[in-house]
Formats: sequence, C-alpha cells, structure tokens
Amino acid sequence: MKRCPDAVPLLGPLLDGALPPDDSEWALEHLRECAGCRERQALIAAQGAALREKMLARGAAADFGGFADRVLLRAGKEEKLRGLEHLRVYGSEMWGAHKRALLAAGGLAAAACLGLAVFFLPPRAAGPEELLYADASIPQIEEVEFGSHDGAVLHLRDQTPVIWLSEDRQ
Amino acid sequence: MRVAFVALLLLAQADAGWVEPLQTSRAPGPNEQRVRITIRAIAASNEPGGFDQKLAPIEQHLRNFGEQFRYQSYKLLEEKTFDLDWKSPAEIELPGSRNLQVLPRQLAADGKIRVHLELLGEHPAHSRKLHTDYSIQRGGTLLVGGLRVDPKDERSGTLLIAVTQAVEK
Repeated sequence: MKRCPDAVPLLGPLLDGALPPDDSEWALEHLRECAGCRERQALIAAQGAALREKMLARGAAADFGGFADRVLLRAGKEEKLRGLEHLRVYGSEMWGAHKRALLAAGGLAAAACLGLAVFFLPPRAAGPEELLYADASIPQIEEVEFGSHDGAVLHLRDQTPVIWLSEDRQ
Repeated sequence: MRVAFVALLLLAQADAGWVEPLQTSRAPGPNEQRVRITIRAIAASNEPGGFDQKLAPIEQHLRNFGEQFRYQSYKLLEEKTFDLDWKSPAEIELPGSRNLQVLPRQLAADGKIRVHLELLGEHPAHSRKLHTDYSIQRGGTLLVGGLRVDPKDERSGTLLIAVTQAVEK
C-alpha cells in the first residue's frame, strides 16, 4: 500500500495532466487501491469545476465596452510629477534597464580619473631619509673581502662605516 | 714577506692607473697633493674605564659605535698619522704582529677620498684577513673591528681600528 501523504499532493496535477508519466502511473495505481484518495480527487475535481463555472459566469457578466476610454480617462486624472520627482523616476527606470552598462562606464571613469591624478600631480618631495641616502657625504664600502674570516659591514647612526670581523674560522 | 706585499701594492697602484681614466673622478689639484690618514688602534673592552682622553678626536664616532656594540671602555694602543701622496701606501704595525696598510687611490668627483685598505694577520704567515676599497668624505672615519687585541688571549679585549682621512690643501 502506498502512502496517502505522498499521493495527495499529486492529485491536483494529475487532474490537470501535469504529472510526468512515472508519477502519473504511481498516482493512478494508488487511486485504484485507495478509496479515500479517490474521494479526495473527486472533491478537488468538483472544486475546480465550480471555480471554472464561477469565473466564466463573472466574465460573461463583465462589461468591457469603453474599457480603453476608461483607462485613458483615469490616466489623465493622475497627478503630474512635481519637482525633481520625474528625474527620480527617470533615473530609476534607466538604472533598471542599463545597470551593467552604467556600472562599467562608472568603473572606467574612476580609473581614468586615477590615471589623470597620477599623471598630473607633482612628485612628492623626498623625505629626510631619502635625502640622507642621496647625500654624497655618506661613506661607501665599494668592495670588501674577508679572507679567512666571516665579516659584516654596517653603518652607525652618523653613517660611519664599520667593518666587523670574526675570529678565524677553524 | 712585507717587501712582497709592498710590491703587490705598487702593482695594484699601477693597475689602478689603467682603470681610473674610465671612472668619474678628477685628478687631485695642485693644492690637493697629499692625503692625511690617521690610524688608531684601540682596545675596546667590557672592563670599566671609559674613554681614553687621547681618543677625543674620534670620541663621537666611538660613542655612536658604543650604542650598538656596548663596550665599556676604549683605550688607545697605537696612533700614527701619515701624510701621503696619492697612490702611496702606508703601513702600521698592530698589536699581535698584525699589519694594516692603506693606499689613498684618488679624489672622486664628489669630493670623496677613495682608499684601499688591507689587514694582514700575524707573523709569519701574514695572511690577508681583510681587504677593502671604500670612499669616504674628508674627515670621515672608517672603523674596522672584531679581532682580539691579543689573538691568543680571549680577555685582551677587541681590537678596533679607526682610519680617519683628510685632504691637505
């Protein structure tokens, strides 16, 4: 026996012919074995028929004569946009329609502005440390060989060079 | 051995003559014919004692040195001043039978003095422990250190050599 809770959601689509073949076969098999679900399906079918009948009756009673004229009359009575409100509506519509193009154009504009700023801004003045490195008075160790020792070259705070040797490698 | 080294220095000097015309330097003027180089051998140690008064001319350098190397005392062991012609070598004997030799090579276009320096080890091998070429402004000092004052005595302190150079007018 197949479970009713699984079958009930399929009853409506089965009536509409909207189930795939496998599910349809499964639902029909269940209906053959289950009287409760057959009643449920009959109820659903009756409700559907009643709704269709009601809607058809309402449609038949509706008067569509002069429909277009009434729509235009109603549109004419709407208040005109005030101030910059039309710009807001225009912007919103444009943004919705061309969002990707506007984003791409904005990115390109920002990159172009950055490039122009880098190109036209005057170079930054050298800071004190940079001036120090460019100072011709700083001593330079041009070449050093330590022979059988390990060694290092460093500069003191006043740029005095120090060559430091370790004792002989043993 | 020392004679051989001086010959080597002279050879290096002759070799430099080939190279120098290609470099951005100027020949010393008629009033800049000599270089004054003062070499001081100093014993730096962690024994209390402060600065030797004879080290006053380079005391500021040693104080800056002390900021990084933390020695407690500096004692002058040897001091010698040379008035040298350009490309003329000078030599000083250091404690522990070592030698330091300096050769003022040229006056560079930016006013610096280019110097070649060699430190040779103990007798009898006199192995070369260091050689360097450096450029330094007039009045500038180069410090060379790290070896023991007495190679055989760990407690003898650290040998610090200060080489100060100037151009005589």
